Amino acid sequence: MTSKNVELRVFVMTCDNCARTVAQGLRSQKGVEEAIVDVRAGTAEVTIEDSVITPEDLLRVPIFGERSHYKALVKRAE
Amino acid sequence: MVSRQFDLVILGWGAAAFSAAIKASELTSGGATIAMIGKGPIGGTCVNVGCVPSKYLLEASHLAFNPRHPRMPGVGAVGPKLNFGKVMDGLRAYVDHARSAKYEEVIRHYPNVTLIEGLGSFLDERTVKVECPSGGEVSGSQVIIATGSTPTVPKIDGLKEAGYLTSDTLWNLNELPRRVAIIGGGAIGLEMGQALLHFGAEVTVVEALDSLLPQGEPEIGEALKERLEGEGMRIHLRARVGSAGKSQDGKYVEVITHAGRHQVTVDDIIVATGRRPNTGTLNLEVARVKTDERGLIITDRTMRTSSPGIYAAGDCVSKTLFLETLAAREGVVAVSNMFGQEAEIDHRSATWAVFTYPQVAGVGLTEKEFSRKNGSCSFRTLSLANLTKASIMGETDGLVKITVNPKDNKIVGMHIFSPSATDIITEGAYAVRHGYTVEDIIATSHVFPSLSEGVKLAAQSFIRDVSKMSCCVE
Ligand SMILES: Cc1cc2nc3c(=O)[nH]c(=O)nc-3n(C[C@H](O)[C@H](O)[C@H](O)COP(=O)(O)OP(=O)(O)OC[C@H]3O[C@@H](n4cnc5c(N)ncnc54)[C@H](O)[C@@H]3O)c2cc1C
Repeated sequence: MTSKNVELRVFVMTCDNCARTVAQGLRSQKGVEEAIVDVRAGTAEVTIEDSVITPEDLLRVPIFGERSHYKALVKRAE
Repeated sequence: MVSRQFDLVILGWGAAAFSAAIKASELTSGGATIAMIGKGPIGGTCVNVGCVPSKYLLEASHLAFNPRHPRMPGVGAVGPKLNFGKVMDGLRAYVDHARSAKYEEVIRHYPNVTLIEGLGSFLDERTVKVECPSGGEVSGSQVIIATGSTPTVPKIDGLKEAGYLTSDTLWNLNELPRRVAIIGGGAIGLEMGQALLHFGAEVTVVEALDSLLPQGEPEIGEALKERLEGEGMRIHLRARVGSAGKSQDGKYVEVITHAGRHQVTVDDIIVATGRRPNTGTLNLEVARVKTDERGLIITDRTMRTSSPGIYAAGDCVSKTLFLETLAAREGVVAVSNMFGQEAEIDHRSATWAVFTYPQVAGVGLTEKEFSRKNGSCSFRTLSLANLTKASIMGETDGLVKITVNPKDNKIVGMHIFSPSATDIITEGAYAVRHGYTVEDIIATSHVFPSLSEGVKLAAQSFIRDVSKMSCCVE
């Protein structure tokens, strides 16, 4: 089991509620161990279980899906 | 040196770059910070030296030509007064307007997009050095390469000394050259050639291959050749230019064909032998971006390159069709995937066109391509002589060819040589993209009499002999 830290750039978050919603959206995914969202920086630090979910998979979770107005890019993955 | 950090760095500011920047801005409600790095006039090839000026020149040339060549009894020939210099002034003014309205003004509405002037090259997978007076390094979480292409000029003895024009420089002309040689009989060469011919120039085209527009159906290449020759164009196939130079009476090109060598005296030489991608100075190796043997960037259908986080779009990409419409779509596909929205480029139903008069347009596979892949195919060719609207117009040179998969009657390719072919072909694009059958086309209403009805008649010719058909048969 290996963990990976991924930094996402998250767009269209305007308040703490947005940050909470995005964090919950990420944490509810299998393979996501932790998600800390910074609304001011527009980023999310996500710790993932490497063998379960990839950094790119994070962009396809429903919270960033076509119907959601939140969108994300992978900024860094290590 | 400190590099400026962006969410997205785009190399290039042509069609592919613009569509990518706008899509990324829309997806993020203007939140994504985007650097667009470019050199030369904003908007790139299409608006400045490609689609826009070439279509303007062609339209003007047809207006000059058609009244002199009426196609109906009782309508006499008239010669409109031509002021070529004013036509070119009008062309340049229109290009300035289009660049301003469609690019400069548009990008002002995206404060999240920073324009950086200069040529860029990779320092590493995420950092680009920009060659500009102030110098600079720019980094992006994601990168798109959209640097387009440049006309190639073959090595021909004496050509450089004689001087030549390309599709980058033709638009600066102020006087109509009386005699022109065009090296290269592809889409660009034929468009420029017919435009100058229609203004009244003597035009000689030298083409190395044995047919015109070999990417399309041979019947169309043949019919187009006949039409252009009928208008007075001299076309040498299986020919090359051995040398060029200055002569007492202007310039000359030495044309080599199977029959031997002869000199053609001209006032201007236009080189239209193809384009090469602007990738040579990008330092792609450090970014681990792979190219093919022509220097075109290899991508998959999601526009991802061999280097994660780096995408490519437009004329710098390894593919067979190089079009503004594809460049723009590829920009959108790249950005969609970057944001986790799965999208793929569909080259299969991409329409292409040559804006001669009549026009040539195609979509999907040719008869030969389908047969080569599948062993057999079924096709029908409708001569426009069977189409009421075309006969009324006196435009019966053209044809519509439809190729279907014989297993299910689904349309796999459509190729048209007709006035307005570039508009009519969209029906073919729907058919190929959605797998329509010839019966679907026949059952769909087409205005009578219209040129688009040619598509319906071509579909009907799979089930009956349309040359003996009343125009009321459905
Ligand atoms: C005469 C002619 C007629 C055409 N007619 C049609 C038509 O009717 N319909 C159609 O669909 N297509 C047509 N095309 C093709 C169409 O113009 C191109 O497919 C389209 O413009 C490609 O867009 P692009 O964004 O890939 O590249 P471009 O528009 O060429 O943009 C690339 C940009 O990148 C810049 N650049 C290059 N190197 C670097 C670097 N290192 N760093 C930063 N910037 C760089 C260039 O200066 C340029 O501004 C025509 C082309 C020509 C030449």
